[in-house]
Amino acid sequence: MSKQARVTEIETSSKKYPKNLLKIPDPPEKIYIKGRMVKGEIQALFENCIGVVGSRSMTSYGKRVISSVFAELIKSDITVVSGFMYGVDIESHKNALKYGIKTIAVMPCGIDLINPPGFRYVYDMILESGGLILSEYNGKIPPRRYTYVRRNRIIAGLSKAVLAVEASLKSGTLITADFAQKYNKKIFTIPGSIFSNVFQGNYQLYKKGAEFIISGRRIREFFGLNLGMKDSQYKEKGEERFSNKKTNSNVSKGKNELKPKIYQALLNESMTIDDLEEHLKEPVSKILSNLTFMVLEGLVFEEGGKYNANKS
Amino acid sequence: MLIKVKSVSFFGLDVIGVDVEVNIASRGLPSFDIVGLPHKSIDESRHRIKAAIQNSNMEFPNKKITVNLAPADIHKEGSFYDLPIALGILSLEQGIKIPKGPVFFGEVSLDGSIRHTKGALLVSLYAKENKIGDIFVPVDCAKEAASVDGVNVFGVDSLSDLYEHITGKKQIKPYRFRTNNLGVCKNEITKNTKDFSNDLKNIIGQEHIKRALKICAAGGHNLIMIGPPGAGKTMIARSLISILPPLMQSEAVEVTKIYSLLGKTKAGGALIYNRPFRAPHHTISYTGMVGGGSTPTPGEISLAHRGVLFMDEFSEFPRSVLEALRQPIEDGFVTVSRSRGSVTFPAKFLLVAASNPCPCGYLGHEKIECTCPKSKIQRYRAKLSGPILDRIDIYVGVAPVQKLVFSEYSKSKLTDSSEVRFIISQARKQQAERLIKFGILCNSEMDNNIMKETCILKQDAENLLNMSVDKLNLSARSYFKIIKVAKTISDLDNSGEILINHIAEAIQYRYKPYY
Repeated sequence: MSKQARVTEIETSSKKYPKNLLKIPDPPEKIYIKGRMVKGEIQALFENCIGVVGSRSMTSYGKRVISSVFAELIKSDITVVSGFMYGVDIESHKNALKYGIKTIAVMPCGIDLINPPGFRYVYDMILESGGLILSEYNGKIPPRRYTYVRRNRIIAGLSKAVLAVEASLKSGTLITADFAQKYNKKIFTIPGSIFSNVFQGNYQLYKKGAEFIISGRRIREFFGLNLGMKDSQYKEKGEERFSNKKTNSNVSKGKNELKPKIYQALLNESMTIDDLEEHLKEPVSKILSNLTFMVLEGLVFEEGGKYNANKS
Repeated sequence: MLIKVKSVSFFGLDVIGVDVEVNIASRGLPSFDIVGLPHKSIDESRHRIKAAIQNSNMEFPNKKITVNLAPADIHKEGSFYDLPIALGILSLEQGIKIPKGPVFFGEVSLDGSIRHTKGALLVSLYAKENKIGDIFVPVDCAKEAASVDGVNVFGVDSLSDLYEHITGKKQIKPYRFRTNNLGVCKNEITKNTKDFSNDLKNIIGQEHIKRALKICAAGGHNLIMIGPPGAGKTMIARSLISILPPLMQSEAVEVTKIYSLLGKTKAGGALIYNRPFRAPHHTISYTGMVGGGSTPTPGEISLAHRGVLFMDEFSEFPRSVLEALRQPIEDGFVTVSRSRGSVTFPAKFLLVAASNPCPCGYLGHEKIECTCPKSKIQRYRAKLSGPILDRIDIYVGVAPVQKLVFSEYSKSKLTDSSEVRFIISQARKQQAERLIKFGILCNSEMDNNIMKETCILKQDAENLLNMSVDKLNLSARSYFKIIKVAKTISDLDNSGEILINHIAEAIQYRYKPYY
């Protein structure tokens, strides 16, 4: 699939060259892009970019944050820019694709190289969805330490705002955020546990002027999009959806009072099966079988051994 | 002058009859030789015997003594030829007659006493099979050997004891159990199975894994637990033993045979009624796990026969060791072939595997960051995947215990292992009644054909399963595993057919790539 996509070379003089990127002190002279879009679309793609950066070794908390924030950006004109690496990067691309958000992968290597190769399927999906692969290197140049830093500058340069999901101290995430600060871009970050290493960097960013966000609403606001629903409305919607499901469902007939209780409990926090058992004081076997029904109905999902309520 | 005394030889768990021929020549220089492919342990018995006879206040003949272990072309090993050889010499020297029938077996000590010797149970089983009425074994092994009906077991305390018995001065009485009317020595069972160091009642909370343990114990399903360090995986695995029903007489014999062969039975102990729990370290060698050696001896999988084989840090085991488990899990035995011949050892065990989600253990942890490179995690996972996972029916993620104070509720829910054991015995009984005609005892042993005959799904249960296959991307293999586990759940529920909630629960135990 990726072979079909042609590589286009864009010079700084070209009209196609992203305007935001021109504003940084050292814009790349040439960028190489791969993608299939109609003329004119490309400028729109570069219009409302948000860079999403974070740790390669992401916690399950970080994963949930991405999913929950992106769910609120669903089918907006925002473009998610990230670095196509393990962890937060790839999760961002995946979630963007899941929620129909356009996404750009900025590669630290030659435009023709898929690195890491294990994510070829994400690569192809990005191209298929009308997203872009972008690099300042041609051919199959392998990534080097410094090219990652160079790439981070492009991510910061392309974006209007940068969302730092999980940043350890001394991480690439902080480098990107530094660039973003130099270029006067908005930096968003997320609150976390004070005991967590990956939160230390977030806090440092906060001290330097980054803004904590707790949902995607703030990002919509920043990009001037309509605000969508309030958090409380989401909850109501979830409940409504739940009651609909309950009556329509073909898997679970009859009265079942445990499911709403489970759902309610999970709305507040994610729980393991043992947590649920202690909370609801019901036999595990009952909880387990009910969870199966709820997973199949899409009411809850499991992640890292914990169950979460599906709000979106 | 020549005399023949009966004894035995072991090859694996097989026992072969051996004639110990002792000859004292009337002419020739004094010497003492043993022939008939003896191992070093037998060769050395010359010194033990000489000292033992002298220390028993008897005369050791200063003549040319030749001992032959017939048949002379098979290798013999073990210290138990001491007794027959010593007895042969004594009888020739003192001119006493030894009865021809009985088998003599035992290692002598320098002071003339007879020590606890490995393999006593095998000898008495051999005696029963070959209709040998009497056997003479060390007094410490008498209880073990007497567990077999129809054999008179004489426990010999010392060489002089035996001498007095044969000359008729003082009788040794055959060992007798005090048994109840079922023919089982009652106090043995209760004594052995009553107290477990890891009882289920010691585990507070963790109801999820406890439930999985019950299902695993009831249906004989293999189990894998994945969770970060400190989640209590080891403690949980150990408590599995306490909820398994005690061994039946025939099973106890099978288990004790293996332990007896390796000299792992207690002096003065009878049959082992406790299910064995084996937890080999992950640095174990292939031979240590499967069994082997130039004269093949059983490995950990055979020591775990009828019990639990717990493999902590499952992904850290060498690949060859993991792959070697496949065939025994399927067949319930393992055949070890070496140049001296091939031996089959039983190896029907319940596999309980535990693994961290990644090498550092914190992948997906709520608060602690995982420090492993992705490539390392992939390699770590690769060991888990593949054919070995096919043979594991129940998969549970274990969350770390993060609280030190437990609610009254979870404390009130604590159950004693003995109660659970009763429920599980009932469920196992049901299975055995249903499956005995197929030659199996547990749900986990069912193949697809047997499942088609015995597992009836209610219509809505089947709908649910088909729907899950679609939505959760289940493979055909996990489809059948879910039915097997659901069948066990329905057995625990005392329900004849598989209901929708049984299937729904079973779906939760399928293999999920954890994070």
